Amino acid sequence: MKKSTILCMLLLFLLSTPLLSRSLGYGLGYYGEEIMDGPERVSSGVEVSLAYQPWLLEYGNPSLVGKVAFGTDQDKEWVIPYLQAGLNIDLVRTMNHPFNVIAHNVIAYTPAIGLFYQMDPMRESSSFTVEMSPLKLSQKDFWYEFFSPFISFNLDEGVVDSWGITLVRYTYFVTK
Amino acid sequence: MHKKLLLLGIIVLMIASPLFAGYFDLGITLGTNAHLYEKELDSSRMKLAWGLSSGLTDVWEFDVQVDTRIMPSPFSSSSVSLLMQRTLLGQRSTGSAIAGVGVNTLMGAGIMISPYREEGTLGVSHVLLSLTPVTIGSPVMGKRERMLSLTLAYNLSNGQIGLLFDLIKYDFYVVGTYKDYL
Repeated sequence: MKKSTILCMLLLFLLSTPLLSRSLGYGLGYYGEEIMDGPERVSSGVEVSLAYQPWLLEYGNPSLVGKVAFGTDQDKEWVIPYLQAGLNIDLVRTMNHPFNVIAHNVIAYTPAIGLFYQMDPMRESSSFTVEMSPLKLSQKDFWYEFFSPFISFNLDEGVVDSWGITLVRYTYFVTK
Repeated sequence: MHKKLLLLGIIVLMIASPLFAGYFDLGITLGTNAHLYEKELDSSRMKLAWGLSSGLTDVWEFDVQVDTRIMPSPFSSSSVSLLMQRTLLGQRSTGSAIAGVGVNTLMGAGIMISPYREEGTLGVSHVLLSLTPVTIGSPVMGKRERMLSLTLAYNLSNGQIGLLFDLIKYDFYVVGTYKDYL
């Protein structure tokens, strides 16, 4: 076997070790979005997401997240307002917080910021989205997120493309 | 309008008199709301539900829920729902430190005060009939989640029927938890 093949296999093995942890999850949320750039369109509905969280770091814990939203707009038409793919970063993980009143069990407070590439299939446009999750709570196999606002920027034109809020999002981690 | 509200307040107080019977509890409500099938009167696409939930007996409760518009034009419109609700699967509170039934169903009726009327003025706009298929938790435990609430809303001004859908609501109890019975 060639040295490069062995090196490649070792690298793959190293990269895949996080798969042994409980790291892959799916989520459901309730979103609302308003288009600012172009004809006004407001929609709300369900957001489905997939998350991959390879590590559990105390600071700057990254996760890969993909989302797709399904909803109805102001004309009662079914729409897919956005698809997003990007990085979610838990800024800090702490047990010392006042939000244990929200959950039935003791839970970690993990406020997060999300950076996403966003596509709007209807307008065939893409943008860069920043999402804040100031009220994100995490357990071993669950994320609870409340009141997460997001804003999308059209980088070509340098304007705000859309904004919105995800009132609640629950993500359940299934794999070990 | 003021007379109507005063009368309503008196009725509510009369109904709430069992609150002195030892089962009284009070919770703060936070959650989601969507007002469906009445877009010509309420153009909201997403609403925040907030209010108070008050236990009157071991099976009856009185809920005041304000639904505030988030999308579009945040905080530009609100409605107030007043609901008397009864549990269908057992006691909502035992009035003691014993947790009691943790999973329940709620059914009730009430009214909505809102500007969602043909006249566009604030007033009693809807008669409500509500079903919450699943609640998890109880006042004694200090927290309760109400899921998938469906409320039929009969509009008194035009005879149409709308639907209120609350995906999830949280009740955080400040009075009537196990701590008050220790």
